[in-house]
This record gives sequence, C-alpha cells and structure tokens, in this order.
Amino acid sequence: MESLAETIHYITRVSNTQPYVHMTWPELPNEIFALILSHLPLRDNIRASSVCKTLLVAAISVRVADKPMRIMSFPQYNDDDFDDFYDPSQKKIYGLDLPELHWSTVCYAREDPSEGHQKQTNSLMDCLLMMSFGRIYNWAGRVRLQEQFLLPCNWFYEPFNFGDMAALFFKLCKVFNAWIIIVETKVFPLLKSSDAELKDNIRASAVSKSCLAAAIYVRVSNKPPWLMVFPRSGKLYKFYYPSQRKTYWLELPELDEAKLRDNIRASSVCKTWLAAAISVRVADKPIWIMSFPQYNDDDFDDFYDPSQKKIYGLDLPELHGSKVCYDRDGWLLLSKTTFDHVFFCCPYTKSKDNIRASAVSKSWLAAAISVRVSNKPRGLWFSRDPSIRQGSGFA
Amino acid sequence: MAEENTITLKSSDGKEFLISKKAATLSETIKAMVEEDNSSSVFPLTVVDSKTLADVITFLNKHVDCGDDDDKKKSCDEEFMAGKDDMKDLFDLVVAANYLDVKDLLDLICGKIADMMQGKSPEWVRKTFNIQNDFSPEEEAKVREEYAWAHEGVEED
Repeated sequence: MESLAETIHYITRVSNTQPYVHMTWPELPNEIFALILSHLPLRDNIRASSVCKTLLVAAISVRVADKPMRIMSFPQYNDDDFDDFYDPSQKKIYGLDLPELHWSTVCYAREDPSEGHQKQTNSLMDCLLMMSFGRIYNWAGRVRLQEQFLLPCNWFYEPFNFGDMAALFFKLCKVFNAWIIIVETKVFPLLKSSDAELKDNIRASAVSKSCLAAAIYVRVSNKPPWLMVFPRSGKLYKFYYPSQRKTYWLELPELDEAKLRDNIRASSVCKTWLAAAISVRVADKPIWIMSFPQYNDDDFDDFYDPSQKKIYGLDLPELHGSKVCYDRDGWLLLSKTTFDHVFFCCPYTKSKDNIRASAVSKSWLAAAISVRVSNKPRGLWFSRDPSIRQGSGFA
Repeated sequence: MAEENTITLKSSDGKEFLISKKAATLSETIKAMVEEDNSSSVFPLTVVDSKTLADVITFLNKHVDCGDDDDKKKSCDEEFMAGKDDMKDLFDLVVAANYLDVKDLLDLICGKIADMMQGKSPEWVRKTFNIQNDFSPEEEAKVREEYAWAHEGVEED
C-alpha cells in the first residue's frame, strides 16, 4: 500500500508553465466519495461513515437512496408525536414527526412504482393526495395517481369500528418511496349511522349522491372484505361484497378468451395434455378471487378464477384464524389474530414463508400489517422482500 | 484525412499521445474541448500526467473497440484493472477520470477502490486516504455506537 507520506505530499506532475497543484484524497469532490461508497456493501458503508464528516455525509446519502424500506410503527400513546421508522437494512430507528398521520389509520402501503430506484428526494411528503367520496384531489404537491390507487379501499387489515355519523376519508401519503393510504374518520352529518342495519344504510344511500358515496364507504369498510382480487398486473378485477350481496367489476381483465377456450379444449385430449394445459393455464392467469368461509364449519376457502369462470374450493389450514393483510403476486401476507405470528403464504402452491416465490423476491413488496413491535402494538411494515423480516431482528 | 480523425493529447509533463477522435470524445471534457476549438489538433491536459494519460487512453481505445458489447466491455475492464492495486495510481486515475469526465472509467475505479475498502476499519481508511478525523471523540463514539453491529469483525490492518 502506498505510504501515508507519499499520499500527503503527492503533487500532480504539471508542465513547467503551470503552478504546482497539490491534490490529496480529502480534496476530491464529495461526489467521488459517494460514488466509491455506493459500491460498498452496507456494513462497509456504515464503517466508512465513521471515518470523517465528509464520508459520513457521503455514506448516508448513498445509503438512503439504495435502502428505502422502512418499518413503521405508530406511537402507542397520543402524547408521543413521533412515528418511528425502522430501517431493517441499517438496523436503526428513525423518529419522524408526521402530523399528517395523526389520528389516521394506515391501511395500505405500497412502493411508488414511478420512483423506482431513483435518488431519494428530500421532500418526504411531497406527494400527498386525498381521496374522498370518489373524488381525488391534490392535497399538496402534484397529483400522481396510480391505477392501483383504488385497491387499498379493500385492504383494511383492521375491521373499523366507527361511531355514528362517520364517513371515511382516504389519503394517499408518500413516505420515503412508499405510498401509504391513510383512512381518516370524519363526521359526516348527512349520514344517519354507520352502525345502522345494512338496510338502513342502503336506504340512507338513496338520499343524495354524497349520501350514497358515504354510505357505501362505511358499508364496505364496516364489513371485512370477503372477496379479494389478486392483481398481478395491477389491474382491478372483481370484487364481491357479501354484505351488500353485490359484485363490482372495476376493470375488466383483458383475457384472451379464444386462447383460453383452446387451452381448455386441448385439456380434454388426454391425461398428459390435461395436466399440461392446466399447468399453463394456471401459470398464465393467476388472478383469483378469494372468498373466506363465512362459517367456521366450512373449512374450504373458495377461489374464483375469473379467467376460467370457475370456483375452486381449497382447504388451506394455513389460513384458518388468520387475517389477510396483503397480497401480491399470488402471495398472501397473513397474521394470526393473536398478532404474534405473521407469515407469508401462497395459496397456489401452499408454500409458506420459508419458501419464497421468485416473483415475490423480485418485486417490491410493500406490506401493511399489524406487527407486535416491542411494546408498540401496531406497526406498518414496508419491505421489498419477505425475507427481510426474518433478518431484521424482529420477533 | 487521417489527421482529421485523430487528435493529440498532451500530458502535464509534456508527452504527446495520438488518439482517435472517436475514442477521445468518450471523455466529455475532451468532447467539449474539440467542439469548442475545431482548428487545433493538440489539446493540453494540465492535470493528467503521462503515465495516467496512457492508462486512460488504453481504456478509451478498448471501449471504442468493444462497441456496444457489454460482456466484452466487462472483460476488457477486468483486464484493465488487473494489477492496479497501487493507491497512488488509482488516485491519479480517479482524478483524471473525474477531470476528463469519463463516467465508465470513474465508476470502474471507484468500484475498485470500494473493493479494497471492504472489510477494512475506519482507521485503515483514514490512513490510506490520508483523511483527517474531524469527529470529536464523543461524536465518533456516537456514530460508532449507532451501528455497533457494522463495526464487528473488522480485518486487522
């Protein structure tokens, strides 16, 4: 290794007409240090950050940009104004004061797909959107709607229990690279009661257009979602609400009907073809609507495959007593009601979290879930990969 | 005609290097120089010495030869970096690559430096890069304590 003295007094050799230029490592622009550090694994990055202040800044700037996953935990007591964000990659907790989140329930989180791996912007909350009653307006900053935007309405991981005359507000909120949806309860005077019988609710919805919207939101949110969609491409398919006995077609999938028909026809050729056709069919059209057994004596979870117009009854003991918090690419993120057990499950393969589908590990998984984090009972967890939880030191 | 497609780069210690325009303009700085001054064919580079400039020119020529073949580029880069373990040489190359604005080279060298830094202690980094520790003892203790796990298992210098 080059000796210290030589580096200090290193003088770039210059032509006679030029003055002597002393150049040493510390005089290099910070960008170069950032570039060097961006090649380092996290551990070395952190170690380098304790070298000097310049490197500290450079190391952190690179570190944050590459590791935007945060586990979020909400203050347990109201006098604590700080939301804690745990960054599993750095094993560190950040306390951030986010007044926007107060009195709000976060029900969904997802990465911002348009941001990708772009450099972290310093504006944490630059994209704040609010949605109320189907109208979406810009809360602060620019409007950036995702097509998946409407999805979260059906992903309440906690059954809501609203008081009278309440309605829901939805807020899209950007934290780091992730979008979270915040649901706020607001008093809505026109609505009679959210706890009213369904009949009353439906009757109330006929009063006016805003009543209709309010009633529907309360109605949906008060009932846990019974049917779910597995959006693979981010498009919406079918929602069935047993509580309303109604089906919503939110966005029709573009199905290659003719192709499917051929596939099904081909499956009747022989046993080998049947197996082959089914394997391809399932693989190509993994969007299933899932319905949970209404009664405990029914052990079967029903999966409806819109592409095949068929219902599958699957016995999935893994799901019993579990709450589905999130789904992505066919994987379900489940938590037991006792909150001490969180796991991933793929109904197609019945594999659990220790077996990861490559689709999941590749995609950014933003998961909203109740996790028992130290003595904070509720938490939200952003992660790009289920395995991160295992390595993050959370029990 | 041949002269139109080549330019001469003059290092800080007065040596001249002939290089094709195509290779030279991979450097944004030289590109700007050439665009600005069409008439001359000799461009003095006052902060790059001949040894480093020779390396840079090797790199540029290799990259022009490789074209868009990324695999080829990668093996070229590996070949180029082989044996370049000397901190002073690397430093010269970083300065030159930064000055000449050759992104690929800068990235390559920075990656190499990062490789050398892996598993090394902050003290090693300070010594090697001659960086003054500008933390107060308390500050440094705090920074280290924050990520104690990262400071475990450091290679002995």
